[in-house]
Amino acid sequence: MAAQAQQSGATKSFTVIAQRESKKRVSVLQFQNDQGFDKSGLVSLARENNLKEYRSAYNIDSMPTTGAGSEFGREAKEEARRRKFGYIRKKYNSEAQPWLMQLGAEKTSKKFKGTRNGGILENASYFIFTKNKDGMFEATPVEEWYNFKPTVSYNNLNAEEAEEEFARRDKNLNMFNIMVRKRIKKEDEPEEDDKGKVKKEVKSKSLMLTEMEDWADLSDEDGTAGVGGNDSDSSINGTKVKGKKGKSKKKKEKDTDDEAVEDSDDGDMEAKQVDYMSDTSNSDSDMEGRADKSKYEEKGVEDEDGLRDIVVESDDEKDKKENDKKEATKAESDASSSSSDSDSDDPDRKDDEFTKAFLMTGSKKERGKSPVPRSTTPTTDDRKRKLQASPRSSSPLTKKIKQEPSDGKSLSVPSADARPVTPVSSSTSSASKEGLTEDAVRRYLSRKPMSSKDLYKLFKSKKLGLSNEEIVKRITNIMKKLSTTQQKIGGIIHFSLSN
Amino acid sequence: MADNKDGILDPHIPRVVESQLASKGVWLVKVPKYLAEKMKSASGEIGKIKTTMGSAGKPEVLFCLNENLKSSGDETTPTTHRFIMSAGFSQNLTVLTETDNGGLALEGKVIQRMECRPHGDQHYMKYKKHQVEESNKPKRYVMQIDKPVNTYKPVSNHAHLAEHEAKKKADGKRSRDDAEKVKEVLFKAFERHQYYTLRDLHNLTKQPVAHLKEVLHSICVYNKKAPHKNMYELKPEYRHYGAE
Repeated sequence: MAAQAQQSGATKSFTVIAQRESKKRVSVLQFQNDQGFDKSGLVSLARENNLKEYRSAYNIDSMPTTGAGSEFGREAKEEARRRKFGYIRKKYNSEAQPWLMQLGAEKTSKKFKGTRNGGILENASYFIFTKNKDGMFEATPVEEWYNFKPTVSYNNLNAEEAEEEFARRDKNLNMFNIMVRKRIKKEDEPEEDDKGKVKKEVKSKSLMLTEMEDWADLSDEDGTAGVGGNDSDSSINGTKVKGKKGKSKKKKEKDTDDEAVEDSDDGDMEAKQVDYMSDTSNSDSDMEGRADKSKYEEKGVEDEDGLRDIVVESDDEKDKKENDKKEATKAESDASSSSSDSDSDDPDRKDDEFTKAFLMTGSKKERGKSPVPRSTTPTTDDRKRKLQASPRSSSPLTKKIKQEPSDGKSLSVPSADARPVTPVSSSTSSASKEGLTEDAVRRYLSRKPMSSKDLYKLFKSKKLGLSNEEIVKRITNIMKKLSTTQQKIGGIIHFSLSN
Repeated sequence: MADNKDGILDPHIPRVVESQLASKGVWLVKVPKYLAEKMKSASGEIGKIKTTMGSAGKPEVLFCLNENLKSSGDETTPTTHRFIMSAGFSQNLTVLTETDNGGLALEGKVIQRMECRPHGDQHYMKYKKHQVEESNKPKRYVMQIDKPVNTYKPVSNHAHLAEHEAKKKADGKRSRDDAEKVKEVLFKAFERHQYYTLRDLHNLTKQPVAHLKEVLHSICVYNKKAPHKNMYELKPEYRHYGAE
């Protein structure tokens, strides 16, 4: 049979012959498109060894076949016994097992598993047409079709591990919070002695690890200060120290409950959180508790925001509540064995709280109500002041600042000229990222005075793909860079460019 | 190679695959069943492929089945088929061949996937008609027989049984060997397995059962209970393996 590749015009003719080596079995290996063979790689194939699986599937007990414990001719007898009942077992066919392919050398090898694709050849037959040296086509029937997939290189989680991960599913990683915590921890370490017994007590009681220590520390301070009501506080609460106080607070809360629900005052929110957290702190699972907290943290932000959106109350109402709350918090601080900072609730403090909340931790709203400009309170070392226990200066505000992201030790609350000096978070946020730039903020502020809430909403509506916290953080950073002046319009602090 | 001592290949041991030809381009052609059967049964020349550059710049491939293959069965089998190329073929298909002695080789990469399709002309319709008629023919039908049907009586003495009987006879009656000799055989057997039934030992030693039982009684324990019921094992003092 000579090659008959004769050329007649545009038509070429080739002879097709049957496969010469009839003993060859041809199979097609299908790979994912981006996978497959390199040009010069070592390829090795083996059948997967499923003998064990086969044995367990057919209930073949794995008794020793020789030596101690073995019975003579056991398998044959068993087989014969089964046959008698008309049961014929499929034999293990090693040729019917999936292929295991290894590409490349040992260390850098890629591994694939090829499973038989039975369906494709069931109702159709395929032929491979290969051109041989003589210019003829060899047609070979395809007998098997294997789909190759890369084998997974990771281990699956077992039940316990999966459970653990599942408990963590709602935990939202907030880089901002993490950085804050980290910094707080750093700050706290050298001053551990100053803090003294209180912290240690908390530690010993709560038996919690790193993060929780931070929380415990913070929550303790919060409790004594009696200030809360924004998200950072909510995340902070929930140690056992708190839990003890929970009940008395609950009672107090019930007296003022209606108003408290409507109003998003500092104290009442806190009290709620305490109630909630005390529950969780009773639950023994550390992991669960953490997950809950993180969940609650977020919710706290939103809840409060929501409340603030809805409720606009007159100042006198507020004052009334303020008084209620004052009582409550005082009772608290008495009850708590921790360092007693009496709280002096004045309206401007509350205002500060909100501003702070916005500027630092990312509760987006701001509700300045007080017409009184704040006095500068240098809080370089508030812990010292705490030791002095001067009621006025160690206002909860300063306490709060300490928890907030701060650049170094020099912190200052909003000063007399009402310009917010906000702490810079160390996580260098690229403020010049799409949309949310210094220029943009400047542009907005140059048009008209705006509250931070307005700014937040503006940038939020632009859908920059940033998280709420991220936006707030960016705005905060930018506001810090710009020289702005604050003025009250309708009881809300508005910022405008000072020059 | 991954041959074990019996010369039988263990497929679970990795084999190196020859991959020199891995990048050689081949066609993968889907072939209708009737054609595939003919192609599989054929040896030597199957047919011819004719390639023409079509008017639209697309190559047209025609496959003509060999005439002698066609005439083997019915007359109507279509001979000329078109190979229709699948547009935008982007699958990653490799051809692996396996020889009987376990040699593996990659023999190409599919560069074109095609479908072999007959011309839908009158000839093909005729063929299909014939095929449908064939397949619709009932498998069982009534027919008249002119001879009485032969029925056979059952037999109990089959040929292979007779053979077995003859062999038994040739062996003769089993004679009693010396007890020591029997013991030797038994010990050897018990080295391989721990438990034997009397029947197996009887076959192994080729001793009369009564004699065998006597010997067994001296060196073996008979299990009457569950895990190895009705089986003999060596007395503990004879065992070469530790107690379980």
